[in-house]
Amino acid sequence: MSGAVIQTSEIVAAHDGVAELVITLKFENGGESLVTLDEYAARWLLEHSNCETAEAFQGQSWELVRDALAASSSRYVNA
Amino acid sequence: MYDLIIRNGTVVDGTGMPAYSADIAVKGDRIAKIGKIEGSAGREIDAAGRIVSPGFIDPHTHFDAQLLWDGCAKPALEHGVTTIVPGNCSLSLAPLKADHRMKLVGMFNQIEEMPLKAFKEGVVWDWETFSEYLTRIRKGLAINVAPLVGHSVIRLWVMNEAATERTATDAEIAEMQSVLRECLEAGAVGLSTSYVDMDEKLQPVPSRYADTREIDALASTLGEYGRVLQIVPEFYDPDLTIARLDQLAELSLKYQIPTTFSPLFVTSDSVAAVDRVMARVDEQFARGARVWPQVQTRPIDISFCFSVPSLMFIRFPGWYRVMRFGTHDKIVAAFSDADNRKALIAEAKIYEPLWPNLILRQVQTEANQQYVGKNLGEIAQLRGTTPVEAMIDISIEEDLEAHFLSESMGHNDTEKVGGLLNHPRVHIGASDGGAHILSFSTYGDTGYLFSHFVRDAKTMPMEDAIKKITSDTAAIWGIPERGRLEPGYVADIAIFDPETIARGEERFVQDVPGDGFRYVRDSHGMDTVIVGGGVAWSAQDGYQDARGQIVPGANDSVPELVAAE
Repeated sequence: MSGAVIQTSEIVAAHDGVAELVITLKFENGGESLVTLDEYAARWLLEHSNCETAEAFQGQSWELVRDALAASSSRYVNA
Repeated sequence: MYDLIIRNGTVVDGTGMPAYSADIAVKGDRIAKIGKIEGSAGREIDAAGRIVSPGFIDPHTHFDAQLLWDGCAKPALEHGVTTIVPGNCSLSLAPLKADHRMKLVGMFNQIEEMPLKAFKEGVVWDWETFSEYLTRIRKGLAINVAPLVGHSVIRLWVMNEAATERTATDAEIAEMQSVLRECLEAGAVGLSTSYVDMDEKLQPVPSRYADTREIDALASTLGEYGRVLQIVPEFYDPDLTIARLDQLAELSLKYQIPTTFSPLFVTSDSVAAVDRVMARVDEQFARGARVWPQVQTRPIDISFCFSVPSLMFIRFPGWYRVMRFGTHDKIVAAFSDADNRKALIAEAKIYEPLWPNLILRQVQTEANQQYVGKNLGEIAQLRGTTPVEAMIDISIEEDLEAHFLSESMGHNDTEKVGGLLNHPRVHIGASDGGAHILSFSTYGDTGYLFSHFVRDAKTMPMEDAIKKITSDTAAIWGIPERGRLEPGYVADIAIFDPETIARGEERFVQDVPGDGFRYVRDSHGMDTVIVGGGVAWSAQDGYQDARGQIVPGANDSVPELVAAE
């Protein structure tokens, strides 16, 4: 688990017509998992991974993805 | 003597049986006879060259508010939809205490993009209970309504502000069951809940604060009536979706109720995910559970304007930086500055095929209305510029409120989506009719089913497509006496041209109370729509009879099947 990294990223159309970013995490045992990032989480990932584009996410740690999702959802806590 | 005869049509009766030639006679609100009809009727329709089918049933809509000022749920009816299910995703407009009205309006505004002004100017708030709401919408009702009651509003009714603060006590859960029972007695077709939606303050909606005790108790009440539970699972995550459908399956088995979840759709990266979800659906059906995934027919488009950051531009760092970090004035300045503009245009060349195909959907100025509906390639030609420069120029002219659309960006794999729609355990629905009215049109999905999947791609026979959106839907939702063409059934009928039926062009119109706008699609290829034996709409004469009913109706009015002696 600790070595899971981002393998691919893709812009997709979300249910409500906004663009979202779907990334594939590749696990050490060969397993794969899809994670969807909204605009806020994707921007957080850009800023904290020092990436310029979504393509550059490849190889980044899953822990950054976790933190991006946490940052996005924590916007709503006691908003 | 009959009231209505439909002659010379090709009958597709909704059961999936092959089409056949026959006349149909209607007396009162019922189909009286199918076959060679002698004699005459007060009204006759020549359906030569046309399909005559049961009216379509749309199981996932948000027409709750629109029904207060428009009993036709326009334009759903003219697309052949004779029954709608509003109240999805935990939100209905009843039961609702006066104190909670603005709270609920905020949720509808946030989740379904229903404009606040429409509620303010289009709604006379003269109900609180579910029964009173149904009485309110019955007046002038031209389409049948099978209303869900929303879990969030029941929670709000019982718990007030605490509905978005904590789990419920045993006493509160018992009261929620009692309120749900009242709604079901009055005519609710089931209960809707959501695990993903946010309210106007970007806080989880009330239903998301429920624990498993509460959901279990409400499902047990549904079990007393055999009514439906609809949920919105964490659809963006296949693992969570599977976990939710497992929960649904347990409730379905424990209380013997039908359940449905939506949406489930295919994007380029989720093809395998959909397969995993469907494999679990199959497993749960094999156990005897009913967990119907709802799949929409139309592809998903991406909309954007430059006043709001969009991940559409994440592949263009210069553009994304301007959108994300610039204030309104800085964005306009970046677009206006010659050097910046040159750099942005150069960067846009990374993916040149994208730009000419973007469609201008919405502008504020009169001068640019002429370009609405055209793509940037066409607009660039008319303005003597390039597509990217046209996009920049129009955005500046519109103070960044020019809205663009990239078509068919998801759920657009015809083979994969077609296979899904054909799946015996997939429920065709999830149109979201009446919602997202400022983003895209949620009408005409049935026309798209026929034009794209039946006629063009030939992934589905007409008989199967009609069965999926008529008798299957009626059976899943427990709506009696509708969804089939059969003597004794209620005469809800659609008559259309199989060669031309389509979803129609998308238009931006100003027909929402409070001078509001919305996207619609006019019907295309539909001739006549009959509800309860009366012509509700025809291409020739427009909207006519208003014979819509609440279905299945109040509990004491639902017909009981009597065993043969």
